[in-house]
Amino acid sequence: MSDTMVLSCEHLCKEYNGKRVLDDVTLQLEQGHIYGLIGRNGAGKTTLLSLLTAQNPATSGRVTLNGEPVWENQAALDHICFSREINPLNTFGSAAYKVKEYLRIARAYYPNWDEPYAERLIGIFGLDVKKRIAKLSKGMLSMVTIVVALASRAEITILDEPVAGLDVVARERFYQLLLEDQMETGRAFVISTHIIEEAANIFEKVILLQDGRLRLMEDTDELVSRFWAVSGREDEVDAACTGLTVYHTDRMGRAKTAYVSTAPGQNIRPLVAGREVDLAPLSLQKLFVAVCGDEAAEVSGR
Amino acid sequence: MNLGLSEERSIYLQIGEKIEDDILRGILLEEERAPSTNELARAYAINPATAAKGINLLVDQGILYKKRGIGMFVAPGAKSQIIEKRKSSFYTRFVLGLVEEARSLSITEEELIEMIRRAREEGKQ
Amino acid sequence: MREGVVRNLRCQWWPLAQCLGVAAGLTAFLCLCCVFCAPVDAIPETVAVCFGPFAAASWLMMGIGTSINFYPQSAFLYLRLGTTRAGVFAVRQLANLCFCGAGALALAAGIALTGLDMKGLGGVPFAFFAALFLIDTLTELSGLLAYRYGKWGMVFYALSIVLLCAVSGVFIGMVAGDQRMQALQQLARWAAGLPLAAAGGLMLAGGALTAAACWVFFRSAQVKV
Repeated sequence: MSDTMVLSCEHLCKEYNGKRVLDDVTLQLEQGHIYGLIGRNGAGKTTLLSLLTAQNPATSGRVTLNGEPVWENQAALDHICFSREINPLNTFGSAAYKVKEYLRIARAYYPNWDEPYAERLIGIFGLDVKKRIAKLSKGMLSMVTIVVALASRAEITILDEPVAGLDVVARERFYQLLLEDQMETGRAFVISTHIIEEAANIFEKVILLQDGRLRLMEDTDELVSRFWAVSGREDEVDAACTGLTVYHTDRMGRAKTAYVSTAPGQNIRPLVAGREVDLAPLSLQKLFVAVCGDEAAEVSGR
Repeated sequence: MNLGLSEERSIYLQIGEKIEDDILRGILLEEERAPSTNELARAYAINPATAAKGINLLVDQGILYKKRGIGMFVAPGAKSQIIEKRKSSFYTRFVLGLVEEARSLSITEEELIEMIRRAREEGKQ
Repeated sequence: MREGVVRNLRCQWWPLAQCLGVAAGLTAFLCLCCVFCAPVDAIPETVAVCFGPFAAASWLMMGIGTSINFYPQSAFLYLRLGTTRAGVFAVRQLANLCFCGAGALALAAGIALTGLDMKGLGGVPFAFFAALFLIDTLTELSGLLAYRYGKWGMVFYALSIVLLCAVSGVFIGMVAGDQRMQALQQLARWAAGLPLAAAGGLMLAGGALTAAACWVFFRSAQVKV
């Protein structure tokens, strides 16, 4: 295969029981970048990831790796790893395996598996490989997921909520390991997470999914620089926000704060010049809440 | 290392500023090797591409230069260059805001200048 | 398709080996028990006669045990680890056939040990192979349905287990009881000949159909959380 792997999807749609869970999603994931996938519960993140990794069939649309369709294509799947939460309550499922056995099976299925790396990670996390998966705590389950993802050495590695259940120290360790790995191997990582602010610094690009649609996909830095909180007196704020996309407003008496975004490359200061308003930048987490907070209320340019 | 990265401004700009701060404070001397992309990424737990963006910005401005195969180095005259740059942005960063705030408090020009004089006096002691 | 099969061979050979090992071990264990229950002066003869039925019973039990768990426990795990449905399914069928083949061989060895005339009894191992294949694919299907359809699948699953346990139980009971020698001979005489081959053929066909049904459900099944 060529030097850089690109996993892409075009007009991807998925329906479950008549309900449209993913709608017309088109994006590209390139080797060498760390992507953050964020969205509310039920936005379709896990569905999107399971479609991208050919675990489930799409209702319509294509998923390709360097142009080759991934569905039922072992050669393509060999370069992809999707590590997701293991459900310990699944009485007949993989919960009956011991961690050791689970890792053994993983090793057989990932051609690039790095066993010494896996053992080092097990040591770092202090995992007891003789325990049954059903008996593991939430944190340990996450660690198993992480070990599989990292040791797979797959060119495109996707992790679904890898830090759920991990305490702060373990989470920081994970981010460090992730960065080290990426710097060493140039893999692509896609991390879906709810703990946005912690992870914001390691994401090069952010993918925001809302109600099954791709709301935006941008460089983290550029995205963060486009969003602002404009506050002051109601009428001044309203005037300042003409022409800007407003996502959410807070009011208290005559004071109003509007959460807005400019177009890419547009500087906000000239637009609000002359108005008595305060400008504050927004962090990734805050802008996410502004964009996805009120599902119904979206007003653009008043 | 100082891990005080604000969540609310572009990380790569902050990285650039931190390197500039280090140059001004004499932590990084001219013709010395600047931290690499990977070192910065590791130290601040940020994406290496972001660190690279910050460094490249400084390279574009001539504050750092690249020695092929070795790394990034602080350019000669970088310190004075940074001072010049910050001098010109001093107006936008501090003065405009100062004047605006003074205006909203109805502080007159004379009062403002008097305050500045006083601050400089107190600073000397 | 080929890479998928190769990848699955890499992984699924080990469960198959374990399965065969346990089946063989179980047979050995049962024979050992037989040693303690047999009349002291006729130990070798008793073991020789019991080996075949014990092997059959062990293979039956192991077959059911692994088949019913294949889809809920293993197949979807393999899919999660990034492989093709075609690969998983194809290798599973291959493993199953190997397993049933081994069972038939064990039974044939058992019959040979009894010293009965092999000529008329050639059909018995074949029929056993076919029967085992059919039973295994049926239990595979019930396991798959249990995974996919939850509640009703579970009912089907439970009923299958009960049914198959009953069948195995009767078989073992018959063998363990005093009638074993006569029953075996009667069964063998009746079983020899053309009707057996036909029955075997029918069962194989049934097994193939059931396997096909498994494929239909498997290829579009969603990997659950």
